[in-house]
Amino acid sequence: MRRFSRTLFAVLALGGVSLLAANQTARAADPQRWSFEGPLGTFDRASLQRGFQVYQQACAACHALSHLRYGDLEGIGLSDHQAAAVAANAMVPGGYDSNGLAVLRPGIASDFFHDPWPNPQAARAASNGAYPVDLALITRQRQGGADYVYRLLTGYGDAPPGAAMFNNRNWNDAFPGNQIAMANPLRAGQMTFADGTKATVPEMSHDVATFLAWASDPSLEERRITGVQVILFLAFLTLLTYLLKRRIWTGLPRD
Amino acid sequence: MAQEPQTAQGSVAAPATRANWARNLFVETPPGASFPYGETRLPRNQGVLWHFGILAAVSLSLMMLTGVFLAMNYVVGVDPFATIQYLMRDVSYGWLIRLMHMAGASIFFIVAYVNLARGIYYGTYKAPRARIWQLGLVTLILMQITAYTGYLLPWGQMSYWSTLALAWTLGGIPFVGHGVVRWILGGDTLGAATLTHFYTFHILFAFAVVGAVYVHIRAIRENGPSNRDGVEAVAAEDVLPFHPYYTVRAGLAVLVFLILCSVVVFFIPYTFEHAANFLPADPLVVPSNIVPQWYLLPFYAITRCAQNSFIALVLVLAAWAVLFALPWLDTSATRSARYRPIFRPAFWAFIVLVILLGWAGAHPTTTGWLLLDRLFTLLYFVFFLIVLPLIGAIETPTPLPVPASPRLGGPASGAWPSVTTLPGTRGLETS
Amino acid sequence: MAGPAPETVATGAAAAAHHEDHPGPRRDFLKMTLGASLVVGLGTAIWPFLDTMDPSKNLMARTAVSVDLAAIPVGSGITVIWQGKPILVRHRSPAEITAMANVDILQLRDRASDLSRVKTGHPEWIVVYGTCGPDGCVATGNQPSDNRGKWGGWVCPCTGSEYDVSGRVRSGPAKQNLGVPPYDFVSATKITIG
Repeated sequence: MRRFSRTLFAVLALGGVSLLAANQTARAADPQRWSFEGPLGTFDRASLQRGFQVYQQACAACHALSHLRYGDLEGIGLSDHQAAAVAANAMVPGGYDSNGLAVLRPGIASDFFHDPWPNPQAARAASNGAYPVDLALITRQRQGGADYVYRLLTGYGDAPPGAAMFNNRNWNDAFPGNQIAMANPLRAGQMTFADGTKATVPEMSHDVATFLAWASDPSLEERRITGVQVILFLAFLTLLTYLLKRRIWTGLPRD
Repeated sequence: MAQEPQTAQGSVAAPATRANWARNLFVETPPGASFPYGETRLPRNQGVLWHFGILAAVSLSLMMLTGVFLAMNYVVGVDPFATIQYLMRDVSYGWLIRLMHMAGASIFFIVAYVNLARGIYYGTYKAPRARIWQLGLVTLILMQITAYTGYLLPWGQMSYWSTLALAWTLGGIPFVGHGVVRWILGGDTLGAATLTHFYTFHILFAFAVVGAVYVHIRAIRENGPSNRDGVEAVAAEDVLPFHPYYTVRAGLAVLVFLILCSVVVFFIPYTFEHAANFLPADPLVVPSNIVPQWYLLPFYAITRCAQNSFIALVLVLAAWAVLFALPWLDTSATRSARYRPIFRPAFWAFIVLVILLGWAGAHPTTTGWLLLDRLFTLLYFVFFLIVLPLIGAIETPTPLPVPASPRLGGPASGAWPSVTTLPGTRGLETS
Repeated sequence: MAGPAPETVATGAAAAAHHEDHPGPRRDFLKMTLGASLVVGLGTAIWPFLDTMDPSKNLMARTAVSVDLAAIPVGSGITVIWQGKPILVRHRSPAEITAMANVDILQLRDRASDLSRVKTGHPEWIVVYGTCGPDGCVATGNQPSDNRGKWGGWVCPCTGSEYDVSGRVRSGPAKQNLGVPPYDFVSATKITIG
């Protein structure tokens, strides 16, 4: 029991301290409004396409996006030709040539997204020992989902004075433990969006978080539309059945 | 219409002895005859909660239907996690059947637990219906095994670690425990062999659930349906024909239930899933907190009480044993909590206790939570072994309604013959 | 039907009779609508389940194989698999090209010009489906050592039908020419099927 109360006290104290610390280091992370929020939300196609560009230019060099195929990009509003063109820019394993040597070929729509690493060891070796996580399900894997991705990408900053930093770690407000191996991947203006949107860090973070939310759950829109149809139909059936029930039960004395 | 039913229960058979009941089950009355739809009569004082039996049957049907089509698309292979993603992304409507099955498991357990709680509240396990209650418990155990084995199949982090944690409960079996676990898992830890085993178990036990439900329904049929007042129907006034009255009412209940299910499946399908289970299983990385599926949590909390795995196993078996013994632990002659002023609050306290037990089980085994685990487990057994028998001894039930009285829709005279001659009325003489 | 019926006592059997006695037209309409809706609903609901067993349409539409033609000598051919189906790719000699172009179309069972069956500018390459019978039989004749039949193209080992080197049926029970799959030249020596 004494251990329990000590633990309880320690937890409360830690919570208080971290709250204070959070107040000191909090950056302007205004709550994000996501296009896919709410029961009927849909993905903002323009944001998805910008987010895909951010992924391609700022993330894809280290982070895989497994389970997704290039053809799936039709889901973010690309035409099949555009998706095929994206695929053709990637070199994927193409079997073996007549001498039995492994060859690469341009990707096609049914190919999975290119994995930047041949194996996890290579990924760690090139990334200061930290494994660049697969992003395909990141918004499902992390508490907070897209909000977490946004907070992480906008959460870089200088370490507070006196913080004992490990080697090759960067201060990040949103990352558990605050010391993240990934260097800040986003700089304002580092890319140009075709639709003229200004590539600020919050904008890029928001768009890539939207894209990753889509990547985690590409059937979200179809699911919601189907849900509305199914529920409307069931409600219609329920109404008819209710009328029938009232009719059949009418005239019976009440219990 | 000159039809005059002679007995209130329609075609309910005379009380069966144990031996001929078993023979009846498959030999003398073929399965098709188990539900003579047209002549079935149901007590008029069945409450809304009696729909949960039918809702459970609907849930089971949907689980079997989605399960069959999932089984056709699931690849028991080297990368089961990727198989699920293939199902969710590439298979036509794969996301739909997968989410129906995933959320459906939790919905099925909600329905089954409401059905169970309903049985406790209205004392429907009392004679002559102890067999119905126990068959229901058998169904629930088979459901839990099915759900437990099925939860490994997505091969997420939580699948992996909660399966491993729970499997080692069986390690508490004296002398052969370790061997039994190795035999079930196909190794000391989880691997491809485990996946194949569990995939097969999952399907086998799913069909076992169907079988158990069938026998459960047969038992309801043979012992007569219960009702919220716990008095037996004795006259034609006490019952209504199943068709069309209960057909349309159950149909309405099923439709409302399906709407609620649709809300879950289409709009909040991941409510019951842990974020950690979207990470592929990694035998080298333990999640910060291993939590089984919510419907196993109260039992999981009980297994955690003891460091010694043998005692843990004994505790969880005892937790089931008291449920099976409930018809005898509850000594009151009155069935329904509607007429039991002391049992009523005790029942709700018990429900809160079970929720607390699950809540404690969802937390890491730090000293504080372990203490709560043990406290709640103790109270669980106190409820069954001390509180229930005690209440039966000291409680004065309020008067039961007379069957065929105006309350139940009968004529106002109330002069009806003794109720004790009909099946299922033992225990009423004393009250 | 507003308000309860006059009966104050409705016994089990009498209650059953009660609703049979007054089959109002509205209820019949209700029942019919409900029944029809149920049938439609169940019929629609079963579709997604059955559809999970179909090959994924998106995936099928997107799969493609590329074939390197440089290694295929004149007069020879290879068989590749696309979407689970065999595809015959044959390198034709100038003599074969001329012979195929000069075939009198009106004599053919399934009339088609050689020009319509090859890509413009690449008459030396003929690409056809290898499936030659209803049972999935695969035509032989790619290798010079294979039986190519009287017309020098392919022979169906199951039906005995013979095809010319444009894939057109010339004899035997077959009614139709070998189909041409969708493909494109990405370079002079490389095609992508699909």
